Amino acid sequence: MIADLLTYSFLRYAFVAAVVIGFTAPLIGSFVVVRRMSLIADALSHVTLAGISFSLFLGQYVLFFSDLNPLYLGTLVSVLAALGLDWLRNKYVHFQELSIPIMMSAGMGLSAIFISLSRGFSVDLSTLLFGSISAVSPSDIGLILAVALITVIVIVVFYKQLLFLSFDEEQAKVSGLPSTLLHMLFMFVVALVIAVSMRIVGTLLVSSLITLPVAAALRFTNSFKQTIVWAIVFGEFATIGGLVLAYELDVAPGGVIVLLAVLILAAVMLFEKIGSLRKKEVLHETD
Amino acid sequence: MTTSVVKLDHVSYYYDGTAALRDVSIDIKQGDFVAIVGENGSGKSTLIRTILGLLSPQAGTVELFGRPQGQFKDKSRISYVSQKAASFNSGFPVTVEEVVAMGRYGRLGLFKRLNMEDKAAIQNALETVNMWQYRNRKIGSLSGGQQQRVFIARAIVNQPDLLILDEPTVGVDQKHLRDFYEVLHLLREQTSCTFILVTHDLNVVTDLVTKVVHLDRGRMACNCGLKEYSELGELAAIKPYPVKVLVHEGMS
Repeated sequence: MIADLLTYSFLRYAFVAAVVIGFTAPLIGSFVVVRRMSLIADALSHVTLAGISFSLFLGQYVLFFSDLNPLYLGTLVSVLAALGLDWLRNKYVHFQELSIPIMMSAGMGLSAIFISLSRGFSVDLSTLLFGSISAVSPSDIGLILAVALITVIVIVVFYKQLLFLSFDEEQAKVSGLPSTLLHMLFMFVVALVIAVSMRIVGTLLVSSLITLPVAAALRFTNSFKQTIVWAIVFGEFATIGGLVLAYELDVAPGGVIVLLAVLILAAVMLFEKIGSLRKKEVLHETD
Repeated sequence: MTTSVVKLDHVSYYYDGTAALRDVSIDIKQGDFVAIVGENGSGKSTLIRTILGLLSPQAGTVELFGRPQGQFKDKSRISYVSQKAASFNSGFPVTVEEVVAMGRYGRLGLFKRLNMEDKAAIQNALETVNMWQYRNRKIGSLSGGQQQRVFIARAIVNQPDLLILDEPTVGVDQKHLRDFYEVLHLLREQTSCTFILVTHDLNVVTDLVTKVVHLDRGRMACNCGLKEYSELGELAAIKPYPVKVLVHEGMS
């Protein structure tokens, strides 16, 4: 694949996108998971699909949209949906999880309508749902890098505040942190990351890339910084490994990337089990 | 004249039209140790959340350290241990040291990292509650009593002027309860902090309490010294919590 990587520019774009997303998704995902918001990633990815398909639909009739990267409108819709999710969560204070199926249904409904109205789509539906190596364009790379930069800046600047907010929201408020503003900023970044991750893993698998590496890291880490570092290591391993395998096997990268992430989680759990059995044996021998 | 730390003037708070606090007025002075008692649903937690600014009263005013609550910005002077502190997500990947460091985050600006002074304050707080040796342990791996000590350490890491404890021993077993109250006694001895403690058990803090506020369905049924409170049973309509009064020097 290395020779092909040097020969084909689309492969280089896919590789850069995979490396950047493999870093960014688990970075923001660490906060998403500990805040118990994992399913929000699913809702936002479905709404992003609606934005992308709306852009493609408009592209058939409006010249401006035919030249525009559909991911731009998808990203914008994802950000608006993140704010909408918060609004819904406030409307259903006692059933906040309802906001997710509501938003997800709206996203899928709109996507189905726009896709069916846009006969002769230039983009294959499976590309939108499961990602594609050839789908990453130079303008996608620009957007992915910009989102990664925004994510890193927000996490570096607000790391302490976001950690406090995630661990104990009430205490964070009492200590004077602007919790609402921080939460909005966090949701904004989550929406951006989910939207741009779609190019590689597709709508249906974005949330896996956000959550699975973190789920594996959570099994053995004690501190939050450790969790972030290990989640990124697993994320990179899954995305780069998945991309290489997808290219060699000629299958959608999303599926392979996610399956690799699942395998990592399974391996971590296996090591954990072996470790606890060994510990028991040592204790038994000591007795 | 002793400075007023918390002053509530005719405060009322309603949840969906139902009064949780009705016309409550309290003046807590520097160095006071105030016990807030009352049955479940009597408005204790609402009172605490109103003092902390988490709820805005529909009537009346709240002053902190002589300033209207909305204008009071130095939040690091106030620390809070909630009854929910021990019911956090125990799988959260955060060490004891990281939890206590959170107590300093409110006063740190953007881009600023914990400096030597912050780290010394964290060590000091953890040593006070005898938890320094557990600093690298995951908070969820500790016992309930140890976790509660860590939350106390987080609350005192800024050396606050006001420490508010809202039923901090909920879910803590008998053995660790004793440890917790030992820490509370230690803090009382070592600091000039003002304490507000919501509790169902006055007996364990009789030698600390200077004032008792008894809430009854949102109304303040009693705001008096401990001795006076213990005598209320014969005098008032409210049923005071059982209390054995130990007479200490300087106790009101």
